[in-house]
Amino acid sequence: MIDIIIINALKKGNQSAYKILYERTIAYVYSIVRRFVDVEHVHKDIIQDVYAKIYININQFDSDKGTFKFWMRRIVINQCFEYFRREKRNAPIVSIDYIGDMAQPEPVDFADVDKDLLLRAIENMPKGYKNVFLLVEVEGYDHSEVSQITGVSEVSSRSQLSRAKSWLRKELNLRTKASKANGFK
Amino acid sequence: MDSNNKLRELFEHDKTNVPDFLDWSEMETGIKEKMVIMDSAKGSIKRREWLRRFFFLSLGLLFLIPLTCGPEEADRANNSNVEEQQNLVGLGLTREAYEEKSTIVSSPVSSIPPPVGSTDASQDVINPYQLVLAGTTDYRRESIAPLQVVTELSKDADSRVTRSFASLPSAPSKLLVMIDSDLQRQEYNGPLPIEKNKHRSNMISVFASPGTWNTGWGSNTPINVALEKELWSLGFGLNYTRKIKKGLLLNIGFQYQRMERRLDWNDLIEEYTYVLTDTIIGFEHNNVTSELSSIIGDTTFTVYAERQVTHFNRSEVIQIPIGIGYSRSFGRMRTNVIGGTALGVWKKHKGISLQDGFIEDYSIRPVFNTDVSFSGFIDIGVSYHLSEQISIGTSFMIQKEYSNWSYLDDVSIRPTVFNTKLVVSYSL
Repeated sequence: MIDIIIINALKKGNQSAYKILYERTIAYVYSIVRRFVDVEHVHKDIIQDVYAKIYININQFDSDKGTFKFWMRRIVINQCFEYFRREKRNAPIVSIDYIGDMAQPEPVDFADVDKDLLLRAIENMPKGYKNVFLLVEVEGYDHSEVSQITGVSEVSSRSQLSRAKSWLRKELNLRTKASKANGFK
Repeated sequence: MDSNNKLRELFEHDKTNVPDFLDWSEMETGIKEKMVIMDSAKGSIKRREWLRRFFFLSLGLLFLIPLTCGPEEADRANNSNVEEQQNLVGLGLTREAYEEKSTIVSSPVSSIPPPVGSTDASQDVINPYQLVLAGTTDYRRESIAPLQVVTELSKDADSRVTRSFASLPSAPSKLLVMIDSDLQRQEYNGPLPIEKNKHRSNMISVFASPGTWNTGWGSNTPINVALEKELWSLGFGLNYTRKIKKGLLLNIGFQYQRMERRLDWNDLIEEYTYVLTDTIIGFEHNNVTSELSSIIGDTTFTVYAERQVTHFNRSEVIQIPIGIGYSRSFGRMRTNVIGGTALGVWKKHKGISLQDGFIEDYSIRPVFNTDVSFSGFIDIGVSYHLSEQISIGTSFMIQKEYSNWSYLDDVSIRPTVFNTKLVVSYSL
């Protein structure tokens, strides 16, 4: 995605490197922002914040600690959650009384699910579930990292994930049945 | 696990079409504006934090000064009549005693009617001392010969004092006249002259400091080192110096320092186009007349060219130095050595530099990482007192930055500044 030459040029403040980095990464950044934040008119603002932070903090990037992609992804996700905090839209966190679900979440096999159906279902997932689900299942963060990013406790994070999977399972069943019914018609 | 991987792959390949409003041309201005806002917010928070610390440190030091000054030292520092006091000690009296006695001599005592049949001259002489010294035991501390007299006399206690009052002559005695005239002379002539080596301790100084500097590159030097040359630059400032005790000084100030460099570099321009106007661009041969005539016109040439560029780059810093030093006076001369640390609270860089082949404009992105910096300094100076309060002097200051100015991890920049100060001081 981004090679060390561009990063070094960025560290030296080379102006043309800004553009190169932007053009090579914007699709990836936009896909993450769009996934987390469904309010379209704020995407531009969030993305500007993301790149401003990347450029300002580029000297803090250490290639020995991880790839640039992961470093950048963390900035993008943090910025999305910064937006939630600003808008106070991250409030509907599910209570932790649902420990039963959390203990042994039923596995969901996405292999056989239709791609579009799955994407649409995730898009419609309730906000609190969706964030944790995306962070854990898609971005690969563990619950302690999710806790740092979202500001909820690890227990809540596990609970949210469990509920998200249950919700997704039901939603996929419903949508599959509906699409089959439509197909028969 | 397998299921999760598939989910991740699904999102990895979710190549969303980037909308037009996210085009670089649309976003560039917004991103740069946000960078400026974030940078200034970050810088101002950091700067505010340092200033807050520095302010409280300075405040603490200023509060400590009075504690370190003993009462006698403080008196000496603040009382311009130190020598007058010393002269009075020779007479066995303090200044207060002198003033008190002067009052006694001039008004109440002299107005007492003369006693009948009292002609004892020795009593006349002793009476004033007895009156003052026996009544105030504090005077005994500093009296030498008169104290012995008083000690003997004071054995008689208050009755004799009272009797002394009664035995004062109508005309003032010789000693009374002498002391009185001494006091009057002081009133008319002003304070006694101060010895040359007793200069006042606290002073405010203004200075101009032409100086030069050394960028202080570490072992790894970038390309522009060979191209840049440091220049003599100007600085100025204000200092407050306070004597703590026995030659020890505390110094705090404000200092503006400019550091300038000259960058000379050559650039090879592969396609340099220039226009020749009204020049011969060809010849026309007339076959009939065999005449050769020139064709005048404009033409363009594209050539290799070498460009020579000179930039004058400038860095500016405002510093708050705090130092401790030692001073010593020799007649009208005073020497001092001060060492300490300075906080650079604001810096500005203007100019252009070459960094690994790229042209860097300082105004867009400073090459130096200098939001806040710390430096150590040592200042050696000498001054000459033109009058009691005003002195002029010169000093040489070496200042070394502790902070690394470089943005790059593998390059260190710790400049050293050499200043020659011209100082005018006013003693408080």
